Amino acid sequence: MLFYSFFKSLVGKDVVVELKNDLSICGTLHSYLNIKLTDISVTDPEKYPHMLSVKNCFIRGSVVRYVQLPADEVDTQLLQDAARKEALQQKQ
Amino acid sequence: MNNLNRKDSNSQVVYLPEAGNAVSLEDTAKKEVHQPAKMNCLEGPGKTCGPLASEEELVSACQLEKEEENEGEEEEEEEDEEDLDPDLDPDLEEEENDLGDPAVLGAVHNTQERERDPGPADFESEGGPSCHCPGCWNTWSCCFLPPPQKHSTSSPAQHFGPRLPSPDPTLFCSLLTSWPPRFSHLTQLHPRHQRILQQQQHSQTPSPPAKKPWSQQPDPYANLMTRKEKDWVIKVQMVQLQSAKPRLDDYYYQEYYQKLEKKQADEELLGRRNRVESLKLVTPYIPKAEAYESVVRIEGSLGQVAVSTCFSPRRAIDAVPHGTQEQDIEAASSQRLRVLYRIEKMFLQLLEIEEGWKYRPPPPCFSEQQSNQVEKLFQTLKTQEQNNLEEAADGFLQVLSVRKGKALVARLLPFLPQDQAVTILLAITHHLPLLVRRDVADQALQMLFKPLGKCISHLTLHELLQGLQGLTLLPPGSSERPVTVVLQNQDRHGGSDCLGDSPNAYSLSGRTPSFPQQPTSPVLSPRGQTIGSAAGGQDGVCLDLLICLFWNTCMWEVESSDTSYIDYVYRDPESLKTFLMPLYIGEPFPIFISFLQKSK
Repeated sequence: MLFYSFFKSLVGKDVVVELKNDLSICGTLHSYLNIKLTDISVTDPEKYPHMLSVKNCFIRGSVVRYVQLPADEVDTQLLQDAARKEALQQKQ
Repeated sequence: MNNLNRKDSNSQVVYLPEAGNAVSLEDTAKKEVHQPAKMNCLEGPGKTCGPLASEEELVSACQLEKEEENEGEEEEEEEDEEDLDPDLDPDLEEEENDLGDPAVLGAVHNTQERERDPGPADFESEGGPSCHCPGCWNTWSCCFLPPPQKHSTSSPAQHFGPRLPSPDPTLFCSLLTSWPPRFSHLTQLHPRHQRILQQQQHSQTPSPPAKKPWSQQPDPYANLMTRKEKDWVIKVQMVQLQSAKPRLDDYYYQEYYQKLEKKQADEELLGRRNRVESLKLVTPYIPKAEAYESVVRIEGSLGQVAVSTCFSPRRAIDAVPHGTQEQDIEAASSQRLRVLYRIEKMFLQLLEIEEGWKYRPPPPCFSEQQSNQVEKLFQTLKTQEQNNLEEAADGFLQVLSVRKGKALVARLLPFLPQDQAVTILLAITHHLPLLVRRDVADQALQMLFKPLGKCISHLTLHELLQGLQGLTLLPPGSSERPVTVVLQNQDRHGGSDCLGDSPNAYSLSGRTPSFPQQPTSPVLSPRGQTIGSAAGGQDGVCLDLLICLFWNTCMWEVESSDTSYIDYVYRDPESLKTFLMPLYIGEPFPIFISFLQKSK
């Protein structure tokens, strides 16, 4: 549940999703269950001109390579603690 | 069907013998739902659901996590009212409903209605209703929660058993009506988060939406799903995330927003204006989480089917660690691993302590159990089982050399009783050069300073001098005095902060480098220290710190005989600075040391 919890706290923030086909999409995270971005723009030089007209998108999880997060929205200490708790829970 | 005999499960799933429901095991291509919906299999509308839970044990991959019957009556009753049998009435007109929030629908008793929503039935056109949760072997109806309809909070007639507290649904209704449909599924969020999102939305609406070039042409793939259907799908996912213990399962999110709120409250206290906090609503978490096995064994099959859920995603193999990792081959890496392992164990204990402390509104004293925990952790930290003091210190230093270890100690310090805290402080100051040297990569010594500073502010003079002397003593095996190392590191936070610490925080408290005109009695009362502001790491500040250090010891020695130069220096801050300048570059400072010796 850690992933959901973590991404829930990032809903509404700007993230950059890098896909496995090297496309990087910058947008506002809209849903934490699946990656839905609103108001997207392609960050790299737009060699993907077909993205120009797209405003919102839904990304299937299996094609995501990275999700780049805003650093000040993440509390790393808390994340570590949450990971420890999760590991503890799993062991039980 | 596969799943009639799971002996060890305690799920309360009921199979619905719907007429004409073919069971199909397909995994449809509509893969928005990537997890099996762990819904209760609900009964048909006409059934009583009193003894429902005990009846049939239907085991399936989409087992619901449900509690025992006694505890689960509330949710059962809720669930029972949800509608099934989509194929009964396929041509009901759909009602447009913006309030399709899955969380609410769980809470709201909206499901007594007879009107069916044909939504799912509409898009499920392949032969026969079937649940298209992957891995769900049951019929459609088992996983079906009807798309949202106009919920009515009245319909008490068909409630049985204890009912949910009724204010909740009404509260949610009122909350939802103000929500834009876009965020209808987000009411599960923390109210602080909701406010942030609302603000964002408001700030974005002024910009006129750009007209897309293709928007004039009709899109053949648009509006295939209605709003209700979409919300239904979202709800199917959401229900799986609800749990009985949100603080545990949703730990990161809850803690994060609590911290945010606390920070806001603090800022508000400091005078910054803040909006009025709205009514705090908490999403009712419907207890339906239940442990279940994520491996399904089908009768007559040759293997196991792995089911991935949000609690155990895709367990592909049964990996069990064999044996212990105690036998380590490499000495060096194993040493580091051992230290890290110790740190992790201590962290778990620390987390327990912090949890316990958070949940009872903290009185300054600890309960018995908590102090036991703290004591145990301290012992672990100090490795008391080693008789040799050297080794104990060494173990402690190893912990401190790792960034995680520093964080651990920093968080532990507020919990320790004073004497133990002092022990740690002395150990740190004594071994400061070593720590500073090892900290080059991390630059993490700072996180220790705030708690150390607090500790210092409570020290007696004797202990302070002990600390200072510790600074001047040569630690074993090192050729530098700590204090010189510290001074040489003045341009870094570490150095200046270190110095800022040991010169007796109370000398800094409230005092700028302007000096009083005459020696007053030494201020022993602990005050809030201003280490953070004073030890800004700038060069001038370091000098000021050194001056404060000097100054403070002066205060104690003012009645001693050989104070002529003291009188000279402390009357004139500027000359004091020039006087101290040679000391700045790290030579041994006879005056300073002599003071310390005199004060013994």
